[in-house]
Amino acid sequence: MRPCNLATWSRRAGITLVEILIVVVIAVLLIGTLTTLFSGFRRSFAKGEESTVVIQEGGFFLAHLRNDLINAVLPPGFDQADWQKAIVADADSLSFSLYADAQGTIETVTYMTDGKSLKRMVKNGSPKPLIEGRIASLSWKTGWEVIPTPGSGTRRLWVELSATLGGQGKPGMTSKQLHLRTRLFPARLNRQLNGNLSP
Amino acid sequence: MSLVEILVAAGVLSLILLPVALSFSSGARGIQMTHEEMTAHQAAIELMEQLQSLPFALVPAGTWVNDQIRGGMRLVQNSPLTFQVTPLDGFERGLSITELSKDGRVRFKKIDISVSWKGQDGKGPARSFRVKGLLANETL
Repeated sequence: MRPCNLATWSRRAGITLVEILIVVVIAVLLIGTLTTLFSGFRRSFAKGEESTVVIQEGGFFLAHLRNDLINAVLPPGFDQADWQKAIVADADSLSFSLYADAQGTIETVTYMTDGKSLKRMVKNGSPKPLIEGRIASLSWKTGWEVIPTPGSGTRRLWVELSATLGGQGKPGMTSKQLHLRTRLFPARLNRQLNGNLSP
Repeated sequence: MSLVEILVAAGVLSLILLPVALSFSSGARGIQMTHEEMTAHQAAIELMEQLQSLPFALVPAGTWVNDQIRGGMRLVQNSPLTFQVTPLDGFERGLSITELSKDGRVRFKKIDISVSWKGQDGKGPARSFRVKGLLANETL
């Protein structure tokens, strides 16, 4: 065995302080990049998830409202002279009568909002939530016109809806906003108002 | 570990992470597309429902392009009927109504509505949505 000389040993392969510092800097850069990337991924994922929920809730609400308006009718004993009031729209509620089942039962449906959430209630039942805490703004009003045609004219009634959903959440994780602006026409009710359907 | 080895490792890691990053951008694009489709769907149904709300005899046959379908604009000249549509930037509506007759009487009116738009806020490819419906003559 060859004796180990201290001077030779000290020149053998080792790690210098400069090398260690370079490795540390590169490691810090890598870890920093990865952390930024992953937090970005997490934010994008959360935002995407929230945006999807907003779209689903918006679609769910519109589908409910549209389906209810398709089945909207004049309530029994309703005075046709007040036809513009067949749908009642206030700042926090929208209500009208509809065919609730195949037997022709007429019940009142009410959509209620507290500015953040929206619920639907049939007759005096318990309100069912449609949108929970995702409303940024919501307004609805009724519109109507009398088209001058032979006779007493043709009546047309509709609901004008303007809503913005989403946009809430932590900074940087806010969902994409969904704007719903449309007019919904209760076809059955309009035909009833014009005498094409018996009440 | 040499600098070259570290750089190679970083490169390999970047290559692995690239598809993950791309998958997120495609997810965001998908959400945008769903949003646009929902808007187009609303625009088409809005037009369909207002025509279905009219008495059969009042619904005129014809073809309309986007510039003729605006809120308050008359369906036909000298007709009291007007469009009641919500203005939509970046979306174009088209409407066609044809009469379907049998034994010399108009039995149905076929309503064909198309909505077209350029995806991704006007930067993407052209897309379109179409909805068709039949209006029955209930007076026969």
